[in-house]
Amino acid sequence: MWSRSSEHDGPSSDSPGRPPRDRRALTLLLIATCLAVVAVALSPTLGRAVPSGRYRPTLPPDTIALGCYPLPAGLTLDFPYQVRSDGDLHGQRVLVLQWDELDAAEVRRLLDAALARAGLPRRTAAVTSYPDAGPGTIVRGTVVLRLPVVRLASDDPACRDPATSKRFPADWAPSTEYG
Amino acid sequence: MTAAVVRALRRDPLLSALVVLALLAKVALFARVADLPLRGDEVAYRDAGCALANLVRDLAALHGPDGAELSRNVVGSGWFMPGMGLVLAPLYLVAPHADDTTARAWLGLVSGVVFVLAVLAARRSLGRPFAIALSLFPALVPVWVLLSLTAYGDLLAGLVLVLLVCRLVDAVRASRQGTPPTLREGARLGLLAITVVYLRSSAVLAVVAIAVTAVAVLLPALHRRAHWPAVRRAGPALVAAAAVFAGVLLPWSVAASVVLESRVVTTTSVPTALANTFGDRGQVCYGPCDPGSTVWFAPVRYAREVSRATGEGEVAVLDQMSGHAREDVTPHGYARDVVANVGRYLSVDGFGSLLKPPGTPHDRGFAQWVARDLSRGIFLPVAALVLAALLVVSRRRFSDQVVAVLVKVGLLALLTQPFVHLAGSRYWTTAGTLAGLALVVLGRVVAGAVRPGPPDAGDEPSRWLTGVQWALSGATVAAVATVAALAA
Repeated sequence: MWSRSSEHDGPSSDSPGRPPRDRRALTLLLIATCLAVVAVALSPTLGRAVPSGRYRPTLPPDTIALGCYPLPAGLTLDFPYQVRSDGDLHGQRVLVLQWDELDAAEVRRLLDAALARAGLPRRTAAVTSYPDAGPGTIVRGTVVLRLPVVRLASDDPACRDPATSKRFPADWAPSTEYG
Repeated sequence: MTAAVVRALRRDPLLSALVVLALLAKVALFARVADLPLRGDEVAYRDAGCALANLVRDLAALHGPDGAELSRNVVGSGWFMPGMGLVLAPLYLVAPHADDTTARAWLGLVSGVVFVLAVLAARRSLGRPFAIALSLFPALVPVWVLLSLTAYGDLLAGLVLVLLVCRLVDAVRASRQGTPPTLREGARLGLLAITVVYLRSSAVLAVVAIAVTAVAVLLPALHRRAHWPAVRRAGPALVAAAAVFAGVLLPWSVAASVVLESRVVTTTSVPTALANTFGDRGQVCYGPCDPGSTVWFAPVRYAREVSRATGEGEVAVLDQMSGHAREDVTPHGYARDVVANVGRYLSVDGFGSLLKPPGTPHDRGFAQWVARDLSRGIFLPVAALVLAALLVVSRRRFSDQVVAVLVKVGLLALLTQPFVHLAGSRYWTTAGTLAGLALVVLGRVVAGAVRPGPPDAGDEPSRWLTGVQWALSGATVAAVATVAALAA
């Protein structure tokens, strides 16, 4: 098997110079190129394909920025954060955030100032740093805010999507299954 | 065309009949998936195909490309390289509104053509038994045929991998006779290698391992026969191969890196895959990810939210998330997960129950028996033989040794999949073609042991290749033993 099969070897007697296999390949290549050129030239007249974009949904601004469920007047979140969950429990709004890139003391200081502006007690916010958070870590810890209950205050359609409002229906399964 | 088929049948009736049978099986099983909408990752490949077709359309009409559409559908979250998108793009270029039945027919046609090319290449470069083996396994495994009608790139990557191995064997053979590879051959090797990676980015390890092994065999062979000048003349071909590989990879890497504002080489999915496979899924988002989604989408959504808040690239966020989720991984837990993954990897009947007409009862009927039970019935004994092939050592002929080493290196590199990624029941299709070739490797070693004979002149075995095979066998046994011991 180590020698090449004879039918492909060397130029055949009827075509000096170029083996027939090469010539056939060249012809096929030429035909394919012509077809491709015609297809490309005609393609703008045939309409556009419509991708679904399902694998990369657009990401709307976060629920606080959208004002879906507003924070009490004066309470601002002056640090990088992402809302993890929001909802009402025992007559209170429980808003869970994670903060990024700052140390816990800095976040506490910024929150204290904001709570004072809003006339809310310091205990409104519980700040917990992750044990493995270090200087290079992006996500550093959790803030739990216990606030007065508010109603939906925006008609932005994104506010009705739990993925944005972070008010998840209780029957939504955890995203831990392979799928 | 008919004349060509008749000629082929006359020249090699058995091989031709097997190829025709494999293609007929494809036609017959098309009925099972014709009405099945593209599902799961197939949708992402379809989207990439549509967006790439629109890119060509825009350029042909001298319009600026739609950058947002390309970012969202070709790069997406950087999970999939655009190989299957490129395969589908010609269809959506000429038929922008093609339905999924047409898409499946097109995919079947492409995989059919590449299969025939792989068989012909195997026959020409490796020998007839390898071509016959390929036409039997995986080509006649029903679930493989069904997967050849889908947009998953694993199967096509496996077929192109055979083309790459064939060309590498050609190059080694020529070098053994003192002829270094030409610039054109080098460029072609680079193109085949990057094609495999574009179709299935996780095959990059196999491609690199096979290529490095081939060079390590080729250069000493060349040196022995034609000394340093010939080795030096092989240099440009190797540079050409590397340049074509890098040159084709670059547009993807640059595009994905720019869109995702992170450094991306092939795929962004590795950290999430590691976290999901071996880490605590309840900690991937520093706590549970948002409910109502999957282990793939929810972490990316979270990473995008962190990226939005901080301006950090989402890939950097995904890396840290993965590290956090894997903080408590122990060797025991890791080994147990690997064992579970191997089980999933071998569950080839999984797609047999998915690829069926919508609404058909699960687990019932003749077609389901064919797709699931028959596939499994063929696959498992073959898997045992392939394991045996990985352990035996070919040491009678250089020609057999080269194929054995390249096939084993490729297979072992592909079988690292359960060690790094949640295995799925379609991943075997990349390794399936090399498994077909491994059957002949095993057969030849057994035949050589039963009826030993001297090799042809010029085909004397290489001690270096014997040693490499012993090392590979040893590594296989050591890996299995280590995982088994840790998982116990």
